[in-house]
Amino acid sequence: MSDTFTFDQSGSLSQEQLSLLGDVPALGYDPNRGAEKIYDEIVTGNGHLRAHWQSLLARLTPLDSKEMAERVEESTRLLRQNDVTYTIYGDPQNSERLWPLDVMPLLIPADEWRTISAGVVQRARLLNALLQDIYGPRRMVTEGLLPAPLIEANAGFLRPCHDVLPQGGTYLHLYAVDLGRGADGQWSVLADRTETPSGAGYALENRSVIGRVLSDCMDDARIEPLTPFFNTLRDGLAALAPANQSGRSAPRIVLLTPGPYNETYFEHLYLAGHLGITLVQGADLTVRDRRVYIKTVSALEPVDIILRRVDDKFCDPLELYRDSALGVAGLIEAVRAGTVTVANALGSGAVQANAFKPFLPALSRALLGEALTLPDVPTWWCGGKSEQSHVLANLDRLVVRPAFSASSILRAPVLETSLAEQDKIAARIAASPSDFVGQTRVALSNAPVWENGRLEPRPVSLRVYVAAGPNGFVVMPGGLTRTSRAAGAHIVSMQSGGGSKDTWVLDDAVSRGRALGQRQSQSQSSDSNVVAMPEAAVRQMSPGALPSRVADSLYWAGRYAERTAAAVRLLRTIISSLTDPARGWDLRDAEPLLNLAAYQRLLPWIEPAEYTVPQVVALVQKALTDPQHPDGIRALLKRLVGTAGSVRDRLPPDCWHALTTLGRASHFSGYRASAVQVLLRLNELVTLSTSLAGAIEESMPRNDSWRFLEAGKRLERAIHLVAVLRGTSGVRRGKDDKITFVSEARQLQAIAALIGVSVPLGPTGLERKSVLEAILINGNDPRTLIYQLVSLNAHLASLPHVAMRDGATVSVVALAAQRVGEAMAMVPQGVAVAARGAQNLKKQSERLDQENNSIRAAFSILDNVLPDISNLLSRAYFTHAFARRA
Amino acid sequence: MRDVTFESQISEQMNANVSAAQVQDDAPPVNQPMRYRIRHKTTCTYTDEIQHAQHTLHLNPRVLPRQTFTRNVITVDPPPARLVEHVDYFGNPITYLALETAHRKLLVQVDFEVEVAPSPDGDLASTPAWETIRDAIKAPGDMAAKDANIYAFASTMIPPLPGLAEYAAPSFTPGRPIGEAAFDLVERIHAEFVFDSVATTIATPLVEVLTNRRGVCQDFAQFAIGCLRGLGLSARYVSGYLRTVPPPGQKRLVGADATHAWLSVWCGGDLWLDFDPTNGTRGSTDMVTLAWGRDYDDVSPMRGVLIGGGSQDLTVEVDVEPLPATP
Repeated sequence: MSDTFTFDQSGSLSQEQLSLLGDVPALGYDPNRGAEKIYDEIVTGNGHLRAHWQSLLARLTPLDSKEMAERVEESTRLLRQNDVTYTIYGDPQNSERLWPLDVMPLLIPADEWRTISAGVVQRARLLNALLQDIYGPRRMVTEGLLPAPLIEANAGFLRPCHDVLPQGGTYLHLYAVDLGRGADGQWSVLADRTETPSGAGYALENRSVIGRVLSDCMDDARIEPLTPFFNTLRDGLAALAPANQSGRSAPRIVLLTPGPYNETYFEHLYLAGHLGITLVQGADLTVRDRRVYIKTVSALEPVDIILRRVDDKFCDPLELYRDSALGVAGLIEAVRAGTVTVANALGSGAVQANAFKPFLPALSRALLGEALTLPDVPTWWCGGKSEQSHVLANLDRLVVRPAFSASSILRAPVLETSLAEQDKIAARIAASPSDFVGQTRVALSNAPVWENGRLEPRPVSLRVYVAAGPNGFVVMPGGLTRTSRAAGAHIVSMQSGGGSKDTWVLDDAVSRGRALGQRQSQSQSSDSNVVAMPEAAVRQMSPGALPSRVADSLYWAGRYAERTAAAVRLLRTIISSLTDPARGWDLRDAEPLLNLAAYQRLLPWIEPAEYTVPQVVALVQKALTDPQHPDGIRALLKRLVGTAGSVRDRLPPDCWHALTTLGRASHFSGYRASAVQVLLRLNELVTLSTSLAGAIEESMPRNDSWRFLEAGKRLERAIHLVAVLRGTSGVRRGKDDKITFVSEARQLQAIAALIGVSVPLGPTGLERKSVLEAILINGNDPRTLIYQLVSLNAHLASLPHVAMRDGATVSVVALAAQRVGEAMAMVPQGVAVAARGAQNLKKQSERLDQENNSIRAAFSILDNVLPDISNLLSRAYFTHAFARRA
Repeated sequence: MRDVTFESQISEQMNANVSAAQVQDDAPPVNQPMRYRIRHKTTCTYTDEIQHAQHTLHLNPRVLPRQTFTRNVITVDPPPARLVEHVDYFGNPITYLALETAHRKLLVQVDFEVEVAPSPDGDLASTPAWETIRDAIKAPGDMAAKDANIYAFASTMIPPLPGLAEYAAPSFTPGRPIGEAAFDLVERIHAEFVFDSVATTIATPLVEVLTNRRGVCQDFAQFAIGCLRGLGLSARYVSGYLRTVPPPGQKRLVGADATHAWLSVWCGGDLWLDFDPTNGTRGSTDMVTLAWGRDYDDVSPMRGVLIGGGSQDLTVEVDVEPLPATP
């Protein structure tokens, strides 16, 4: 039916179409025309729908709220499943939030985009040339076009980078501009992002989600795809690899992230995966002989290009901000030596300062010989006398901003001038005029967002990205559109609760409002890659060598995952045994398990005679839910998620998803404090931890990452099994140090219940020997001790071999493997000794004593050997990752 | 579970060992040609082995028209894997040092002989009015004024504080020649501030120096610079050496000298005048300039990032030996 629509040349709908589409009021959209004149992205001044929106709205009409709600639900679920998050600084929860994404995209017609695109590329060339000048000959200062304080008072200017010309003269490998559309319909520049522009990855993710949710609306609207832009970025970086490298075919590119606490860490993961480059933190890199190396589990491997998301000042503690733990000491010296390319070049942040704005038109003429085409928001730098007077005289109308804001990303400290504040601001300007600018307040244009079941106007700004490709600057056809939290709020920031939109740059046919039918037949016959395809949503894992820090974290993630699983199983066994009427256990029956829980600090030491079952249930509940419990389930999960989070790029998305689901499952409260509720929660946690193990088993490639994760898991489980034997030894030391004994039958029952093994009944009931064999030496059962040790041995054999750093001839891995071998030999021996003891001694006390001594003798070696293996692994693979306190 | 990344700067501890030299009030500064043999020896010892270390040094003295070097040797033990000489943003020599062999001790020693010519400072009263200088910085018309811009704004260790311009005000009366006004400010600091080598460390913020009016040469120099910048003027932080005069009847003690710090004020054109607020004196051939910057942070003698090492101990010995005049 839609293919019968035709649009008139003026861009508004004919009378006939309006009746089909519904007119603007029928969209339920109120363009919100207040006293202030504001441009609306979707509705003209005459109340007509703009031409380039007609196709999309025709598809969405009649904006059925049920259908729209489904689309919103779909996008939210996709975002959640892909774990698209960002972090709010200063949030007491310090929680990652789900990335806010509106289902309505922002549409930009092709002719308008051409203007924006040309303007943004010109600006990239200008700022790059300006950086070359201020870090080099300073011609612009000498010629009087740039006041010296714009460099000398500029906190973003890095003195150690003066006279260090980057490879190819390229400072800006990735550059972003925030644009806003004023009441006159013209786009102007709100801010430049030259240091570490963020959001390009979110723009890609937005397309990936909206491309799916609105796929039925996209198939006939030709929308420029985003993926080629990222290929250009990558090719541009690769082309800048410093010359004379060690003859490797492809340059090694890494993405340097400040780590999981950064607000846009998700994007770092996403970009590294999409670009196919290794994600690293500062601690993964080192400078030797004026070259940057990545510290891997096998060797130091040279790095050619660093795409950094660490701010300028934090990049090198030797020459820049000295307390930075995020950077690489000696990085600037390596850049000076020409052995590494840093993107963006160190010091690039200098020219994103607001103070440059008023000087750009003249600088453009001088540096490029061109008139600047994209205007800036009118700005006055108070370092000039007349400008200062102008700002002071117009404080009621102007926005006052810092002239040199070193901070990048999505936060811009803004001093909105209220009447009460004006005197204070005037005083600050007078005291330090060169630190401030005054700016005309921009009434940002409105675009519709789908909220509260209808379209509502929200102020928007558009962040546009430029990459330095091998053949010059290239614009991403699209960008990150951000919306304010409320209508009339003209500060757009994710930090203050704004949202985002996908941005569709339409091709000419769409913007001219060509008939849908005509276009459909065209798109069927034409090359399908012209039509936007949704981006691959499955995040790729970070490739490349395994940094030592990552190996360390994977190993510990394996240990914490196993520790958590063991703890929830133990608590579940306690609750289910104690509260099962069919089983009829009392506290004395559960004593071996309670002892074990106490040994692992989940519960306090419990005297069966002094406690009631409800009291124990309450203690278990506390271990399960209390966030203050230092060794409780919440604490274990927090450690697990934190450790795994720092190596998220090495985990398949399914693993990460299982992990975060498990992490979230511990955040519950407000239910009845009853045994059955505790049991249900524990069952749920056991299921979730099992599905995490399953996700690891099924989705992780059998590489070194997997081996470290597995080694951690196996070692932890072995340690746990030894603890089970110790905690259920049958001996209980009371408060008065009096030793009492737990009956053998109870003990064996408890162990069997915990481990979940079915043990053949002997002539005298459950035989100790059978139980021990079942949990220790049955090599076919993945829960036994011997199985853990055999697996551990296999993993050690497959890991890269490294010699000991102190020059000893035995490799650490061989040493560790030897220790595992010793441990394996001890297991059947221990069982044999224990079983023999059981047969020969009559008196219970003597027998148990003998048994315990035998077991202790057998397993004391394990007690030492297992931590030893951990230490050896750490010495072999992890320790050289860390600079130590000196 | 793991060690954390840590970056240490030995310069901070160095300061504890380097107290500012203070000459006797009654020993008048000389301003006739002088020759010195200077030795600056830094020894770092570490409780654990250092696997790898990188340092930047501001120990190689700056070449100036007034300073002629006849010998200049830097000794590093253990021998560094890399030693690269650069010139920093402020024109000082800066040395990059990479040590890639394990060591428990690091020795860095600089030996040089220098002849210092008297400064052509002339008459303070004939310097321009301070407001003229201030306006020249704001609207730089020549290269000299552009250079002055480097030292005219807030820096890491000298932030803008409201009390600074206020403190300077009595010295900077309308139309007063800048040299005279600056010397008056420096003399007031000398009179009103207490030299106290335990009151501050290099990490002590300027605001505490302002409040407590105690400190060592770095503090006084940075305080004076802050006052001048508060008025819109330009001043450099100068690190260097000072000839010390032993008490009467006693021999000069080898290695008992120390590094010193003062300031240099832009007075228009190429004229920068040295003032020493620690001693209340003007520049003289008692002083040998090592390096200058906006504050201590720009010229700290030794700054390093180490891997390994446990705790460390640091000693600095400075010896400023006057030599007979050039034959």
